[in-house]
Amino acid sequence: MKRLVGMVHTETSWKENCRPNRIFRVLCNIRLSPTVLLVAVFGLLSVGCTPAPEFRFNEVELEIRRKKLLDKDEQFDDQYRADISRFLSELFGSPDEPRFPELDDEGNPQGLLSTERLQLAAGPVRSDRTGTKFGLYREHCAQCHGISGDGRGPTSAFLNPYPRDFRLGRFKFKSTTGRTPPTEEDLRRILVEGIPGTAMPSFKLLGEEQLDALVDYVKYLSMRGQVERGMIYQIDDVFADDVRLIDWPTEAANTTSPDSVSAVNSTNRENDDELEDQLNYYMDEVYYPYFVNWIEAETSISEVPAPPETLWSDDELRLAGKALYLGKANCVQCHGATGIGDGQTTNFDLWTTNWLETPGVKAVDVRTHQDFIRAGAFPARTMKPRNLRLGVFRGGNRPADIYRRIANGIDGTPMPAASTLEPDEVWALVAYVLRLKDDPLSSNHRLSTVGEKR
Amino acid sequence: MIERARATQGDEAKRDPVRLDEKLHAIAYRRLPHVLAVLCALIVFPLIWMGGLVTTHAAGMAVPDWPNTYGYNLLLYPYYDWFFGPWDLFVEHGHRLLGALAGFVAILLVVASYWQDQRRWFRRLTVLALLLIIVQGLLGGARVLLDQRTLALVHGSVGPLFFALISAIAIMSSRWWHSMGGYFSIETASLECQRTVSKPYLPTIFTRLSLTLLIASYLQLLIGANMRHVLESAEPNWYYTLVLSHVWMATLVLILAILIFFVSRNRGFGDCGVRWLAGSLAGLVVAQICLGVSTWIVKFGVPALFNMPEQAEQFLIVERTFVQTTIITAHVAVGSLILAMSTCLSVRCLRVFWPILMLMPWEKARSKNLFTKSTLSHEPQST
Repeated sequence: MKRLVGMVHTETSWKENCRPNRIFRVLCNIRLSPTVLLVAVFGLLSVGCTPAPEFRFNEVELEIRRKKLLDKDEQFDDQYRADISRFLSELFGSPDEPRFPELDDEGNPQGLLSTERLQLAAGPVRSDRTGTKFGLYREHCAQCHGISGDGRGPTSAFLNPYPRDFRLGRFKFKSTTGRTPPTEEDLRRILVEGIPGTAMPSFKLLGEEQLDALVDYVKYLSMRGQVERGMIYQIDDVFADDVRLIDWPTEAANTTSPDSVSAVNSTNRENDDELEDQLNYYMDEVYYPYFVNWIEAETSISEVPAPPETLWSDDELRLAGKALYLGKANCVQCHGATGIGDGQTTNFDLWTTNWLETPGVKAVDVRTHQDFIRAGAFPARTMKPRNLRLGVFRGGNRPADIYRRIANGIDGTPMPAASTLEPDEVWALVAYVLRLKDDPLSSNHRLSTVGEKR
Repeated sequence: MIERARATQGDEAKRDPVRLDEKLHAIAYRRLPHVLAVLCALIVFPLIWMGGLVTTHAAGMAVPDWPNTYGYNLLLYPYYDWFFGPWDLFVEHGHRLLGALAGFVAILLVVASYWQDQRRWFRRLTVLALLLIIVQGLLGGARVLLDQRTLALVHGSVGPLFFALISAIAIMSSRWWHSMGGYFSIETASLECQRTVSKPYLPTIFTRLSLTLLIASYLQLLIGANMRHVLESAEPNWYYTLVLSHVWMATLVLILAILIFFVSRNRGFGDCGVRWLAGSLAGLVVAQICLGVSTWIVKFGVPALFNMPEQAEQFLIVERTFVQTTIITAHVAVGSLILAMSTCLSVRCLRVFWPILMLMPWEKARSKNLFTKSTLSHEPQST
């Protein structure tokens, strides 16, 4: 003990070496000059300043075109990307300042989208003194669906299913048939009701105005994405031999009006006319068809005949549905004999097959996917057919919803439209599917036997 | 305390009684700085909660100007408009008011420490706290004026740092802190310390664990802040990395908290005034992990990891419900509380165990002799 104290622990030495004291001494000796503080604050500010977000180019689609062109020994030039990007920014603006091309001479947007609503949904999140909120898309949607609506928001890699890529203009749960876009009401219903079992929440607590704004912005992103894809298609369809899609004059870079392609103002009239012709061509060939599709969607709602009154009680109807399920409708192929979704599970959805069917790409060989993964595609996931016994359906639980899913199919998925079934047969299937949740698995065999006897 | 110190400093008191009295007076407990530090810490916790609400409701830009609120001086904004106005305005302006209050108390703390506390390092520490809260306010203002989400991330990361610092200051100005002082030689301090600790290696382990927990909990908080303020244009891989890091760091924090809890419950450890803190911290970490899982569920649904396909398929997320926003914000606030508590634990450890911590590296083997039964005494060994 004596040696111990004598060796190290004089009053001075332990004070010098005491760890807490060292820390405090360092604190005491800190010289916080204004210069250091200013440098620190400005350093933080410069780190914190990030540029305004921009729409991300559809590199996956471009990669598909590139591979197809190279497969045909044709040239591919990166200038295509610049031409298309510029065309899109002239037409649709940026995430902070969205625009929407008006087609008629009076400048009316023909009721498809409201500029005011777009302004409400676009841009950074903020609100005013009255509580009106702006930047709704970034507040509620962009974290998953991404700034461009490409389904590549920061959180998307974790989600199953992946967030919807709006750019194909295809939506699963809608009241229209085939490839027709959804109606405003369809989009609004998904927003209000959400999709159970997925990360898509219900926004039923948002106000009507906010929901309308989000619906418009989703349509806007979808149309922008469709036009972008359409322009990328033009690479091999129209101008395969030309290096450039559009001969943008450098002088006119900032003078082209977003509202009308005829507003190009340049000293070189000949070039202007040529550019105007090109732009008008793309407006007619690419933009206008999509625009019309969205307009017509509102009047393309598939009718749902009145359901049988005995939908929930008639066992015969249910058994007829069972027979259809196992036979004519062939639901059993994917949903399995018991309806738990254990049938064929090797199919992919449209958003995956879009690039998976490119020449040289094999679904089973992940190595052939790498170019697309690098371009921004998600790793391919096979689709899991619905477990019909849960009693929860992502497109809605109402009989009319189930009817539409069966009659119209689910766009973008292997679920086909039951075009060969009569409305009565579809209702029989609806009766069977709706009541599967109350049918214990153990009695399935008995039910099947009864069905066969009948 | 002074009397007790005098009694234990027999030799020194005889050598230079005047100097010793001066020293003892300098470290005497003063109520005012402690009360102000505790008050500031009590204000900062709801302030952090309110800041969390601002982010949860994306209300950071509900007031576009700064330091004013819609042209009014911050403190003169009509209370009726604030209290009964839009929710975002209520949250953002409330956050600013609480921040101003915390800053005001921090100023008073500096004044009180210079007035009553003679410890130079302590005064400097209060000044540091004041500077930190000023920087934090400036960051908040810059976030609004520049409308930069990345600055919100920095703002959200500095806030808990201030909370931890003010909590440490509250401990350092407490009566307990002063009661642990008064030993001006290592041997008396060691002997005082050994009264409670019979296994000399435990305090070293405990202190190292608590310091590691402090660092880990702040790193975890930084990762969480990055997840919360992730830019919409960020790549999915970045968020993926953040989530995995957050999960692994949570595991580390949990292991550390459990280890700390069990070490503090060791019989050889005695009651050193850190047991309750270690217990609370372990409970809080467990609660925080539950909150983290709940946050994921209310935001993204039931994870596949849980292997509950039926429940997962039936679960519908409803955005912006009271339950959702409360769970998410509570996860943020409790994270800061864990940081503050682990800071308190570390500071208390350093204060209680400093003699042992000093001895151990140099005289590990010999120090074991120091703690043998034969040397146990309340008075220093005389030569």
